[in-house]
Amino acid sequence: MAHGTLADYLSELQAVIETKEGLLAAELLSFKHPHIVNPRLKIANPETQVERYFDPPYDEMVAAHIRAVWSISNHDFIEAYGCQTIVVQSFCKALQSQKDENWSLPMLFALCLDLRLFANSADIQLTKKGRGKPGETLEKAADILMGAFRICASDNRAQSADSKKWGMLNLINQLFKIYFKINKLHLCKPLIRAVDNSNFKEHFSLSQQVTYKYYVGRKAMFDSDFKGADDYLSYAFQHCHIMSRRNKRMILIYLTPVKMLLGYMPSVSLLQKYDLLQFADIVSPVRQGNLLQLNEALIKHEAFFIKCGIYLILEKLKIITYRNLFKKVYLILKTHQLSVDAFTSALRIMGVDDIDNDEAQCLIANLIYEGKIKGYISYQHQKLVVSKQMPFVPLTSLK
Amino acid sequence: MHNNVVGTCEFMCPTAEIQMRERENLLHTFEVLESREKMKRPRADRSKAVKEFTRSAAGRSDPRPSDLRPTSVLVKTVDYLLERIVPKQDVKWHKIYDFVADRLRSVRQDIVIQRLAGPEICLVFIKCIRFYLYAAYRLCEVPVSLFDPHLNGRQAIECMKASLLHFSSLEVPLLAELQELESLYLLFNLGSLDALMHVYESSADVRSCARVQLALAVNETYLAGNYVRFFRLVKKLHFLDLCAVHRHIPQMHNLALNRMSVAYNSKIHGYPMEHLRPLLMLDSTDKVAELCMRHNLLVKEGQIYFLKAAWKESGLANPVKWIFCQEKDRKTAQTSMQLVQLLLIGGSTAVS
Repeated sequence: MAHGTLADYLSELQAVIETKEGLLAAELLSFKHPHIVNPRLKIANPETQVERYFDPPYDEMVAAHIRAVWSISNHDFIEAYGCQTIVVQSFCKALQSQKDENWSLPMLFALCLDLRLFANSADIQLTKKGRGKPGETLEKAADILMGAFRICASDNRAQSADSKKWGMLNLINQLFKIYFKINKLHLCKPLIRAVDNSNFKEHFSLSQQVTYKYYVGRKAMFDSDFKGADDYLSYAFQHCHIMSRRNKRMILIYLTPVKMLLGYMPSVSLLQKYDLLQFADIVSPVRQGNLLQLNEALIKHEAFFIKCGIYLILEKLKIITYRNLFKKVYLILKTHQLSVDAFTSALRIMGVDDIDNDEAQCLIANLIYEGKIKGYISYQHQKLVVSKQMPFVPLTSLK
Repeated sequence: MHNNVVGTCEFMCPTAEIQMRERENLLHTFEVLESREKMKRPRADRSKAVKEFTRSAAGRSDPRPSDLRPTSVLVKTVDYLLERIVPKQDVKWHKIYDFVADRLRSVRQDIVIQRLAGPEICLVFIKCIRFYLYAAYRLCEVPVSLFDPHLNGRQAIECMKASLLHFSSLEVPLLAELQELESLYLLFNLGSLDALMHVYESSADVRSCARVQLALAVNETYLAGNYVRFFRLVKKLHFLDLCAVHRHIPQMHNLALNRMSVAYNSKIHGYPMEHLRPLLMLDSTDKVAELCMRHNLLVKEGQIYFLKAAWKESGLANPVKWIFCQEKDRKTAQTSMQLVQLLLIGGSTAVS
């Protein structure tokens, strides 16, 4: 298709739409398809030609698509985005009028994907020109995607192969990608609720489910729901296609800190396999209760952890590190009445030079408050008195 | 293409507005000609009148260039407000605040309408921020009908967010001011993930300076609930940084007592008030007792009886001018000249 005339292209597109071949139509409207580079399709004003082949709303849609092709050839993503919004909106008119059928969903997915990608590039171009706030175009794109989502979600032909509800998860995943990019995670909530309430939940394609659970897992991390995050991310990791190494690695970047907070340390071989040895530098100091080494490791790989957005979660490992150190003190002293001095000394040995008894008590107080240590502090005797039964609650049993 | 309006007003207040306000008797006391003060309709002193803030009404036509002040005039205006109005001793300071805050808002509006940018504008922003944060501390004990810390806080945050964008688009960075800004932003928004991520994503020479590192450390202790280290570090903050973090201190008091009510839980043994007092930087054991009783913790004979079951989660107390804050205030902003310097030039990046 990289060589035909405009007429060839339009008649082919018209044919597949008429015969309701959604996948083929999607290809012909997708920017991944070779027709995009066909110089004969780079037309600024294709309306008259297009109107010969298509009725409304497809005429508007196709004309806008051709204009988008032209804009892309000029590297104008801002213009391309504008055209693509018309493409999607006109398509949605057609979608809505299609009662009891969902053959055109592949078209919807392709058009929305391009909308999101153009919005992304448009934002970059706008920021370079000093216009608009970062993420502004993506936010607008999200609104349009929500419109499309609502058409799918409100299709009352539930439990049927013809339902448009099958389009929900694809669109939700696209919306998640935008919300994560513009850092508005709270907007994911109503979408998650919509999926939870649908009985299609388990029947979407595996790859869609993996993507979905990856984002929901990351959101759970953000909300400090580590048990939930573990469930979702583990599912995503286990069901992610074995050949998608890059995706598996991405899931592992988030799953690893979650598991560590729940008390499960990753093996070096796993980290090596997925090229995530940065975590290995964290695992050993956490186990040993070595704060200084943990801090050094966090600083050493700061750039990587910040870029992935997990730096702050890893900071939470500090309290686990204290807990591990204090447990060692308990195991060494073999008594249930532990002098606070012992903890202060242990911290000093581990490189925390400016710690004193008050701060040591404060750290212990926090661990008791969080249920990680069973016991109480006696100020009088400057001692931590721990329970005789499993005073250091196993991390893996905590919420 | 956007055609930016370019302001041509040479004075701190556009002529049309002066004439209107004279006519309608809407001049502020700070703006009138001294000799005419006793007249029914006072005249404006050109060197003192400052453009007011008015909401841009929808449907109103675009402002005329003669009503907008260019960068140089805006700089002069802000300097005038901070040098001449802020240190006035003959008026209650909340009235000074009202005037200055309103006029600064108008300055910011002129900046937005004309889409002004550049290093002088960045400096204007940071002076505004210093003013809002100082005000938050200075007026913390004033009733809410006279000074609303929430509204002031909103102005401060709006200004900070705009500043961060402006600073990031400078060709030649203003490093010291940016370090100051990042530190104030983080401390004012203590515990906020957004603010923290922002600092982490800034360049290394911003993040690695002592001032920002201290702010990060304070933030970390706040998030970790390490009340002992929190107050130890807060003591070291530069006065403006202290003003920024000030409103979060009651939360840390609350947290400390809450943790302790669980960890030191005992029906028999107490915790000495005089030991807790300096840890939480409270002014006296009476104040410690007050705070404990607020949360339903028993206080007797200089001892606090931490009882988990007794703990009551009452609302946060308002921040006050604790003695340790007053001491820092005295050292940095005692005289008018010191205060003006503080607002115009800010603090050094060195940690005290």
